[in-house]
Amino acid sequence: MKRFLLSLMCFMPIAIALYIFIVCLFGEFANDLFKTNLNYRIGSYGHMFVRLSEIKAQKKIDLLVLGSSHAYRGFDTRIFNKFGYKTFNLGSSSQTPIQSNYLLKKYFNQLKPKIIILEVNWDNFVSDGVESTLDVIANDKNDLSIIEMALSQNHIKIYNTLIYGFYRDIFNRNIGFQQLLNTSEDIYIPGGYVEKKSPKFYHVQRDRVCNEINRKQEESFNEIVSLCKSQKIRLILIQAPVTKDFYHFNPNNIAFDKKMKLLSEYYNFNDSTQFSDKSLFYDDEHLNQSGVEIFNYETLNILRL
Amino acid sequence: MTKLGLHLNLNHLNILLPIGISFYTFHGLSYLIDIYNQKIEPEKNFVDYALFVTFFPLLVAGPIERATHLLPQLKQPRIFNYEFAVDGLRQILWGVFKKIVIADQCAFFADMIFNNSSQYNGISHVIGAIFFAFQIYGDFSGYSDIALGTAKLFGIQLFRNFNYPYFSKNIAEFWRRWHISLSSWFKDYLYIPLGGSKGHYLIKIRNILVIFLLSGLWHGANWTFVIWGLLNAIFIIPSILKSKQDKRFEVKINGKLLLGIVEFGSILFTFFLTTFAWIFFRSSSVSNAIDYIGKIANNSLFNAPNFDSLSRAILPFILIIFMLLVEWFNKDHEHVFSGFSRIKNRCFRWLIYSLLLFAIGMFMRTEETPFIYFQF
Repeated sequence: MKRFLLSLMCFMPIAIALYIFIVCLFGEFANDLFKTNLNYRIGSYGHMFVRLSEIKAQKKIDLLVLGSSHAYRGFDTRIFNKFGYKTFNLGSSSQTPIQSNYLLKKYFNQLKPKIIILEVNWDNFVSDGVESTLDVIANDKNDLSIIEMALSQNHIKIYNTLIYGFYRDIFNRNIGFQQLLNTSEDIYIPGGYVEKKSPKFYHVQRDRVCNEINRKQEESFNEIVSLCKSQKIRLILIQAPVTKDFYHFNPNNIAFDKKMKLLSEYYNFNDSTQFSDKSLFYDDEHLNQSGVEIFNYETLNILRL
Repeated sequence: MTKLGLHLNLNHLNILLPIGISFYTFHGLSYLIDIYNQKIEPEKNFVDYALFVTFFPLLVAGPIERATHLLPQLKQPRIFNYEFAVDGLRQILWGVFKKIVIADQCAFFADMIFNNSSQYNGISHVIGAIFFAFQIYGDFSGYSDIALGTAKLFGIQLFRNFNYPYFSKNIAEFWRRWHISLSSWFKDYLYIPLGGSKGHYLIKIRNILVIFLLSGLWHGANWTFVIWGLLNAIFIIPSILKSKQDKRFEVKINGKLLLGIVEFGSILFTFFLTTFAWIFFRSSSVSNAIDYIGKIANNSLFNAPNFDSLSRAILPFILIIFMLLVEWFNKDHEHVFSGFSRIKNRCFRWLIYSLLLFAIGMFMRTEETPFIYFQF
């Protein structure tokens, strides 16, 4: 038995070291078809790379926005800045409370926000949050604090991508990378907002998951609420408007509203009749610029309360 | 029946059953039959008997053990055997690879095509069936390897359940290599008492039909399993009826690294027959299975596959070929790593294990895919 355990103990560090080495090699040279569980997408769809590059220069802001694409495509920093709120939008693709909590903790001392808007929706509470963690790993300079988030999610894609992410950071493989601010579809606005160019509506077929809330998401969300309470920061939970059909597909809306209201100041814009017109959206989930303006002026009214 | 509130519909024999019932029922039956046949004495020690019935590696999906084989081992004092335990870990490693890499990768495509059959053309249906053939092999033989390996860590040798079945040259041989513990159970407790392959050819055919129809029903109360069993019986009958049939049961390709065209053709043809039968096994109803086969038979069989993720199917194909090559070169061993203890170079052995661990970590499917045989 002793010999067996000793062999295992000798083998494990060697296997781990070899694993890390091969993941780095694979990430560098393998075709994407074979990178089943390594998803490193620097400069991805949600402009996270440029947003995280920009945040490094930010200091002491009034308003910090966190959340999914509903946040970074829904809160136009130009409007909030115009009305005297120095704002940074730290939303990212499919961001869930797990990543919001991670990003908030990482940048809290640097930004010292007075108000935090956390965009919440049912889908992000039931999600495992893997997609968004991969987005953060690929687009941010990783430090040891991300390991805690990776361990809490315990997903092989996150481990592999994190190994490769550390390799790229350590060997400065991302130096010189630049993300286009103005693409054929989007314009990145300084402060983290992404404006959609075409206002034309297109329907997106997406399966909505209506099962139970993920316990880890709930824990992370509670940590955000606790942090804001302990730091005496106004936390505003906002459910951004989506099309009525998309919203009413979810049978859990009432229960979700009740839960959010119990935890902090909460506004659900799907209750408002202002957003019943599809002409304010460019797809089922996202407002076009006209819709964003109405939404943001309504949010400003909330901020003034 | 209706007055009693029971609604019997012969078209739908779906009955809710406890997990693993097919396995532990046969496991327990072998004990009772062996006592009846005076092969063993009734076990006096309740703890040993309870352990025999509930030994966790085999409880939910086999292999189906015999009291004559397992009980004497359980009664022995536990002595840790280094070589045995290391061999167990190696077997677990290969089993995990087969399950979460091969089976789960194949499951993605098999499910996609079987569950949305109307969207795909003939050749896509062929690919779907092939993927299912490897899904069920990777899934079940992977589980068996994990179970056998786990038992070895406790110093227990369980029955070998798979012997590289897709290298069989005929269906009779396939059934000597696939789910061996079930095939041998039927052979010992049903086929031979019924007369086996002795006597008039009608008796032989009857015995084969009984065995395979029951084998189908063992998998579940669904007509798809009955037809799957019946098809296997039909495929096996010619080889049983031929003279010198016992020799045809022998595992023939062991020891050969290269095959002749005829042998290779036989292996391919046997694989085609088993895959055809698997279509019934996988389909949710007989009409779905017939519909699936009908789609294979149409003109689009000669077109390019029409599923969107065609390029993603390259990886599971490569992995299947890798698995087949590894198994082919190790087909003379109990499992692919059985011969590894003879390799003196520890660095080489550890490198191979590490590469396999990497393959698992990089290519495993991350969504939960339960073992297929957990439903039986």
